[in-house]
Amino acid sequence: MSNVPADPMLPRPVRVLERRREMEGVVTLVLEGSPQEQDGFQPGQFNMLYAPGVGEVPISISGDPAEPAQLTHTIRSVGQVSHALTRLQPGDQLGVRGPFGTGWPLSDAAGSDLVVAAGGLGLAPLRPVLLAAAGNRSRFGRVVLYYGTRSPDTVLYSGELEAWRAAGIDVHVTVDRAAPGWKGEVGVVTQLMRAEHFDAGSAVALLCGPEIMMHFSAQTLSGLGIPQARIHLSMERNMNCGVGLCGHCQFGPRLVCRDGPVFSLEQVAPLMKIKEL
Amino acid sequence: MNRITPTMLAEQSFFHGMEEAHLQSIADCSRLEQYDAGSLLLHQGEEADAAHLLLEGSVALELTVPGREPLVVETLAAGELVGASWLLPPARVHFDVRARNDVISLRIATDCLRRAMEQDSSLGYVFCRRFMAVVVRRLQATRLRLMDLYGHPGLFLPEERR
Ligand SMILES: Cc1cc2nc3c(=O)[nH]c(=O)nc-3n(C[C@H](O)[C@H](O)[C@H](O)COP(=O)(O)OP(=O)(O)OC[C@H]3O[C@@H](n4cnc5c(N)ncnc54)[C@H](O)[C@@H]3O)c2cc1C
Repeated sequence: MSNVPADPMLPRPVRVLERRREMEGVVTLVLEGSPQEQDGFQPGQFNMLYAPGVGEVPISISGDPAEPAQLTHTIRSVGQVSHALTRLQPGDQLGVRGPFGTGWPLSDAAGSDLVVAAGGLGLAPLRPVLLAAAGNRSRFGRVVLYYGTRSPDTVLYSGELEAWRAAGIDVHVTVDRAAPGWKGEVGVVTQLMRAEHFDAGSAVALLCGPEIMMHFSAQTLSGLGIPQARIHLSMERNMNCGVGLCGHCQFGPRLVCRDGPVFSLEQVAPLMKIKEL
Repeated sequence: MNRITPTMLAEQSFFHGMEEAHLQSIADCSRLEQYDAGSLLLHQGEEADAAHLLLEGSVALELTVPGREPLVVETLAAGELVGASWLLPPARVHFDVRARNDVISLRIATDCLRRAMEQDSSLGYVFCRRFMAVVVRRLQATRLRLMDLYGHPGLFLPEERR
């Protein structure tokens, strides 16, 4: 039975093990995995999550690749389906298809410096990268995280940043708007990026966040000398089938669900209309 | 003792590529200063008589409003030039500039620099170009912050691409 490949169009029923409220409107769900989950996932891949009776949406896997049996997803309530998912409680059932998509090219980065730039909820698909790097620090050279978000109360995974620092990751966090008591940086994420943090000649950069944030981050990192082919972005365009059949997520000549969501800047720069690169 | 030389200035990216005579004029107006964490490099409302090029450490630009805790408007790290109000009248400091950790800065006496720039307009032009680049970069960063860069992606995409 377990040798028969699962139908990628058929959701498997799973239960919510744990629900963590990250901030207003954002929840992390830990799901009890089915036998398929034991096969693992690549950091950067996503699942299609089906909220019973409401609908299905793509959500990145934000858990630890070393613990694939625990499926972790961080979800922001923006519409009907994501809202239904964020309301699920421990014990509730939902459907999962996946994992789908290309992962971050971590094997290309082995031995090199790793530059991770995230904006807002874009930290979720990069959390597996940071956990993998923290768990096997000698696999990479320097690992630097640039994380920008709106305000101190929207810092995602705020309880984990210290552990990442302790594991040897150079963590930089900045907010657009400070609040009393905030001791960190204030400014836009691109202001954190500095040539002395990494070796631009060999570094691999991974970017995730709203496209506008990735646009400016890519421009800055490229300006600091990282070649376009080594800057990778997760293009989270909306999709339907998740397996390259329906064409809903067409992005130029590519399909985000099948060929992405991770693309190199070289592949997507013309489509993002990045000027002066 | 703390004599600043053109060579020392040339190591800072703000001054990269400037000619020796210009660097000498700026060095003549400059000295090294140290600030303990928590102390102020510039005081809001006071006469703007200095600019600081941060060599080590970082600072917070704070706006003090009566009845409120000081609000951090922006933080700036080593390599940045701090203090922009001195060039134009009324030359009053807009923000408290507080050391977030131990800071070493190159303090430029701006009266001295202004006089040097008035005597040598090529120095004035070269310095103002670089100064303008800093101001434009900060303006761009402020614009990006106004755009609420990290909000839900759907807000930024045209309907057909969502
Ligand atoms: C590969 C991939 C990974 C993703 N990972 C995550 C994740 O880890 N966590 C998370 O919270 N969300 C993630 N998303 C986005 C998530 O899929 C959407 O928020 C969800 O589909 C919205 O569905 P809905 O029914 O709740 O809202 P809808 O009613 O469908 O949409 C609400 C509003 O958001 C807009 N919108 C929806 N999806 C997108 C999108 N992808 N880009 C731009 N605008 C959009 C809609 O146009 C509408 O204005 C991911 C998307 C993709 C493609």
